[in-house]
Amino acid sequence: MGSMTKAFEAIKQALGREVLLPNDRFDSLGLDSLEFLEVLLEVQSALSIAIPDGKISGLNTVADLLKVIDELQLQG
Amino acid sequence: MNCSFKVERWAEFVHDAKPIFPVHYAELALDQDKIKLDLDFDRYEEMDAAGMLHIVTVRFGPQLVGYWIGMVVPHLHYGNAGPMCWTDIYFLLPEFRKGGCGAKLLIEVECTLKARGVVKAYLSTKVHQDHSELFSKLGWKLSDKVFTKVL
Repeated sequence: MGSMTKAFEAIKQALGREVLLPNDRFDSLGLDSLEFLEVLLEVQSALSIAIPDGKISGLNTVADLLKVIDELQLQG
Repeated sequence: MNCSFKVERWAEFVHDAKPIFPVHYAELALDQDKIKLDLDFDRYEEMDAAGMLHIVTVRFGPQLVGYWIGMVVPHLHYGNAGPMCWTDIYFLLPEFRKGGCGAKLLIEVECTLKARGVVKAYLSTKVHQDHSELFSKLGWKLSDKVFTKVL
């Protein structure tokens, strides 16, 4: 499984959704702040990454999160 | 359109905040029968001019939809430790309490306070609208319980 596919699956699992699109917005998915944070924690744990705090305010869509994950994984 | 988070000065913020303060008060303030909203705008302005305010705003486009205000001062007991910050107020309009907006606001507050050299921050939550779990997940430690009494 490619790293981006794995990341996308991890996000889907954390959100508990079978269908998810990259353009889906977190505010449209019905998450409150605590749920949003729990999704981020679960994704970070599943992928063994740590998203810098400074990146979190820019996470509006699934694609935004995938981009940050990609950047982190490229940095190794 | 996405919400943006940014540090603003009092003068940039206050005009847009004036219509929100009564909404905030109506939803969250206690003892409203005895203690009415009466913000001391001059004092806020003086504190900002003295470098004692830290304001982080949430805007949806140009529209102010939320804010967090803290007071940054040296602690009376731990002056050598560096500046500390006491949260004054925070609020998000109800329609923006989704998608992690509140968490993002608090993370932005933390990042910008750190960048300013603040070494410790204090934050409270209402008992009737309790954000303890969110604060704990964000790494805040429960350290005090606050009691109030109208005299």
